[in-house]
Amino acid sequence: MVIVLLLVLVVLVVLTIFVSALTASFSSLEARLDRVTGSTPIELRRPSPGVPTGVGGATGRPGRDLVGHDLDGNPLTAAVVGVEHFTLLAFLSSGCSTCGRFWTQLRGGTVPDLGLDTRLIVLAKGADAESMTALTEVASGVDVLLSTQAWQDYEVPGTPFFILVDGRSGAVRGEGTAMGWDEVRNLVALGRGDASIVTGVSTAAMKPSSDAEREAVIDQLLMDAGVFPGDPSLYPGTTPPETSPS
Amino acid sequence: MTTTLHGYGISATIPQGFEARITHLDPVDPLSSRTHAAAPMIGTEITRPFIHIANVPLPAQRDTFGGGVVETLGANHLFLALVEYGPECVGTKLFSPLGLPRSVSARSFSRTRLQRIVPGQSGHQSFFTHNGRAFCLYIVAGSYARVGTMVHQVNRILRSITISANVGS
Repeated sequence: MVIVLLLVLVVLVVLTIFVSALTASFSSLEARLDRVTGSTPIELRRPSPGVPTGVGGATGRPGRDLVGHDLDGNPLTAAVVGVEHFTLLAFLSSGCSTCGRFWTQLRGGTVPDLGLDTRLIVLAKGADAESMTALTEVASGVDVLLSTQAWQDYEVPGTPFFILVDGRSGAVRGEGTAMGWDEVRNLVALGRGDASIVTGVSTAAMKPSSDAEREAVIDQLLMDAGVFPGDPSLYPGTTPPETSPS
Repeated sequence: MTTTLHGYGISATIPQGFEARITHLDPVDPLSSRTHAAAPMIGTEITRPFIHIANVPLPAQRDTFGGGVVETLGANHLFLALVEYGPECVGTKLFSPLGLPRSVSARSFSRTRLQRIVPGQSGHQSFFTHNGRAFCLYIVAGSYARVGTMVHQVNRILRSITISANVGS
């Protein structure tokens, strides 16, 4: 009897360990799956002064003017703070494969439409941290500011990386990575609080919110008066549509 | 907050809201290799650096005296160019004044001193020799009417510029 009880106890212990192991394995698998399916190619951060955003620091932190060289070795500075426009800093490198599509479009002169008051400045690291041979090849004809210092000042975590600075306040208004210019435009739009330059959204095609409110009020007044959609009185001199609500 | 720019023996402190580029163009060589074989020293251009400072964005493609930039100046904008000439100019009458001007007056600006006339703008030009190097200082103000309120910014920049002795081309 005692032996049987011991055997049952051993079986129970083994089963408990087995179930625990299975549960732990499933949790791990689920977490991995979440990371894969939940990943996004771009991190968009709404302007929120002083709010830490993790990678790259925080929006609301101060921007810095840029000092460096061009591809020919000529020194230059670029004003980012204390100016009347936004500046989009595009941090690119010669070695990152994702940067390739940005370089290609820049070389082709296809500068994205970022809005009238947003200036694009393309940055790469200086000769101390970048292959000048490779960079000259990918960035041929592109106005690039080489400044390793700028990467440190803006705490750039990798490439491609984009930072939007408001020249009037001197503060960072948005930052993140992107897979293409359309996503960069979204970042700029969010940072500026301007939906008009988001891809596929045209202000000309958008109905003002006041129109929608006015329509709702009129619909309600008509229904209160017993006039519902499809009512013949709405179509004087014509045949009302066949699909009228019940 | 300011930034400091230096290159080719020239340095300047750039105030906030302004930016600067020092450019040294590649020489243009119009002669063929055959001609060069006969006369190696003929036809090779020697270029000198120039510095542009402005409170508007400075694109990569700019003319020496601000073409490509001055068209974008608004009423509160300034463009300043310091253009070096060759050593053969040193000692000539045009470049005889010694030293970079550290202060310019509003009265030295005129609509007729623009290299290219743009309505509303006014310009200043002065030629001088500094540390054995010949230069032209060319300034464009976006608004002739507001020059008086902007010269202090120009003079602040001029006082910050240093030019060392000839560093070669």
